[in-house]
Amino acid sequence: MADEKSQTKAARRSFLFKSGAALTGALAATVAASAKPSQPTPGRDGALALKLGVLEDREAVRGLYRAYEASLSEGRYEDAASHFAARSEAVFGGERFSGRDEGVRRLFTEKFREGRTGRKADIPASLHAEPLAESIEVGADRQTAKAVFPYSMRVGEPMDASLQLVQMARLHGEGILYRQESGLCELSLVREGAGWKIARAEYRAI
Amino acid sequence: MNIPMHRFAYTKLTSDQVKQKLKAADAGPTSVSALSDALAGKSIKIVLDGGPTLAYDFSSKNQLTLSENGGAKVKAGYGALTQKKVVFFAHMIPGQPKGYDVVIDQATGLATVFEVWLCGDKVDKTLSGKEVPLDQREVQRQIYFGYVDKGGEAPKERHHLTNRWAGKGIHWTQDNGIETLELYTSVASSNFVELTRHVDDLGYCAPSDYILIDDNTFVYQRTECEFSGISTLFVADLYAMTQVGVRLGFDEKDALEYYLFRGTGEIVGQLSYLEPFDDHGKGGMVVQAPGDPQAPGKGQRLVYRPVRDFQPMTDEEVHQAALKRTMAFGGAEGETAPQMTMAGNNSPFSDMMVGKKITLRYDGPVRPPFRTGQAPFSTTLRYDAGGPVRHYDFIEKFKLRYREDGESTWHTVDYRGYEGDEQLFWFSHILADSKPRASVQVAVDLLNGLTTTIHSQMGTPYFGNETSYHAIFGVAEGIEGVEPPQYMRHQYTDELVGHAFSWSYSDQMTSMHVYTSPHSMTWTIFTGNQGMGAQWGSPCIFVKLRDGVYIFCQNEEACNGAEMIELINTKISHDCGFGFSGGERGVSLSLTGAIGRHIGAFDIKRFYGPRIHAKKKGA
Repeated sequence: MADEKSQTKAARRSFLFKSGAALTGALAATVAASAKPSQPTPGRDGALALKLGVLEDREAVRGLYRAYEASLSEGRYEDAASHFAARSEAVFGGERFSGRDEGVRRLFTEKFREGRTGRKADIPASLHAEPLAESIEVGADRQTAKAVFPYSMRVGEPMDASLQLVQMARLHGEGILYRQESGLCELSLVREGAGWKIARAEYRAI
Repeated sequence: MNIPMHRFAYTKLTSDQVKQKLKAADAGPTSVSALSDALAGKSIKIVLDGGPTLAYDFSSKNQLTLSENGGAKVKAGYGALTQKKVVFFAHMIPGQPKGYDVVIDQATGLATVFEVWLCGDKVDKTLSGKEVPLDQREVQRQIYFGYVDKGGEAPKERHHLTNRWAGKGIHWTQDNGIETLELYTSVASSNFVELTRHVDDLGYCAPSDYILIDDNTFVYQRTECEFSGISTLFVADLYAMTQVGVRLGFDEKDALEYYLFRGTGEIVGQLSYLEPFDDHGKGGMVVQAPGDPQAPGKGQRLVYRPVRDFQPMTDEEVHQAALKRTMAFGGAEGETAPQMTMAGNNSPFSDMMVGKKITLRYDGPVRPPFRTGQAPFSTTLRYDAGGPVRHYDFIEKFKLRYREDGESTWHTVDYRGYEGDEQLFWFSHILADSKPRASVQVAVDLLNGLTTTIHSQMGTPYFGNETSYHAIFGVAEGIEGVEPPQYMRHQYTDELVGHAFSWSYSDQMTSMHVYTSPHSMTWTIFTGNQGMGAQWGSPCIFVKLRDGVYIFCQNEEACNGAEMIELINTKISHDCGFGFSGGERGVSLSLTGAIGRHIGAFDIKRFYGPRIHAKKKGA
């Protein structure tokens, strides 16, 4: 078990390191490629413009995630689904939900809402041997990105609603068994117009 | 009125009928006490947060003119009563099924206004998600906090919701002779026992509001949702123990009640309320998500409407379901308790009877006499007589065989038993091949040779999928060294009446029981921070087995029809027992048990029982 854990941590560190390396490589590769968003010119100015664009993209992705996270935390489940692309999927608790208007919306407006899942919680310092790290990798063409964000949220499972007492508890928002879940939210993103949308989100509890 | 409110078929008044009947309210509320002229000749403007601005001109002590939000002035009758610094007045708006109940603190200039209306078009959502239009006769309300605009700077303070009233019990006597016992055992609901309007001393629950005016002055409002829909609202001064208020709505005969009242009260007790000490209940009970029951909106309140979700079945339908599936203890083997939510804190099972054989011999059902005919000239008193005799052989810890006296064959059935007190065995099993499907919950006092059985069976005169029950008392024969008594029996008791216990069935489920009368109880669900929240109540019975040891039995009538039969041992603050229910999925005998905490008690037993003054004759 200890070996498995250390392997997992090592793999995570490796992934994060590789992400950083990949980002560097992507930046270099993008110098020659045509990046549609800001159409940089070749040369030193173009490279700087691209670098700036990538930084802007990273901030945009981070902002998107923060907005998405806030919508879940505040119980605005429709808003949470709106951060996804039309053709997207979410994986939560090992279950896959496909299509923004079908699966993803159902995940949030039904499953999350039933359990009041999503309220942001502080990640207990004692939970992880090393702090979970955020990473954002923008694709060479700046049309796609991958990101990893640490998360910690309240997850709720409704109790057996056939019990009268549970039904009554539902009247004031109770009747739910809560646990706190922490881990990494792995995102794949696509550019849509001037902004970004989530193409895939997978929650990996740790 | 001798039909319980949860069984009474209140007329589904139409909107037109309600409006027609409300015309009588145009003149303002009636009052036994003299109306106050404190407002006569005055003009006031009330500014309300998130609500209308109300400009009043009071031409006399019973006529006013109102302009809402600067709109056209309308004339209406009104009535006002004062209570120290508080002036309270109420009026309807002619031609509309709405009005206002206004509380003004003349010392601070702060105001609390209840906009009240009938004929609401709101569609409420039940716990199963079913959308149900509200009864037209159900009084709706929206509370606004504000102030009387005197032209200067608006005050920053406001009256507000409170939990300071939570846990109190008060006996009120109004100037019209109406007596009620009110137990304010939730921040969103209350219990009330009509001591004069009803004959049976049953407690009921109603969604309620509690507002703090100042340290000793409160506003209380309840609406008898799912019953007559009538509203009772008053301002109480808990120093002087007085009240002034208004009653609005339709009674069981569909007659309009619209009157002001004064009253005097007596505090009969106080339960502990268990919220964190820095929680003052100012937020009230709110809904957190649009998809939840009781969607937010004007007039939103926490209303429990269980019968709206109930799917009635006939006796035969239930029996057919029982033939397909009659389940004892979830079909679990041995020590397993399948419903951990309701039995996680149950008492351990006992094998104390294994290898023993006893005979339980019961008297006839002990019931109040049935009375028929035209009282008082043609009265028949009828008593049942003769009770069952059952022979038991406890084969093993979870298996027994029994036979009725006169039967030659034994029935082998599953049972579960507890030692509920010293040498006091408490067990239950299904009655084999019974129709309607029945079970028994049996207390056997091995020290005294006494026994009590709760006979539980499917079906009531109202629904096939509701349970009914009665207690039978008798003696246990065959206990070594114990001679069964000839006269002594277990008996009904009111010793628990007024007491409140929280019962934690598991770490996930706690309910507070308040034993509101000798024949009724209320259960209350705690909120996340242990505030007292949703409530409902039912008739029940209490049997005393020994000092501190009782059988408590209730059926969630006009609710889900399920029965709970517990042995309560107050010496160890633990109960253990059984559930019995039936429906589409068959009939089930289940387990339940909980750890208790004594939350407090009300001194209310003295208000119950036969009196030397006749009660008001109702419908």
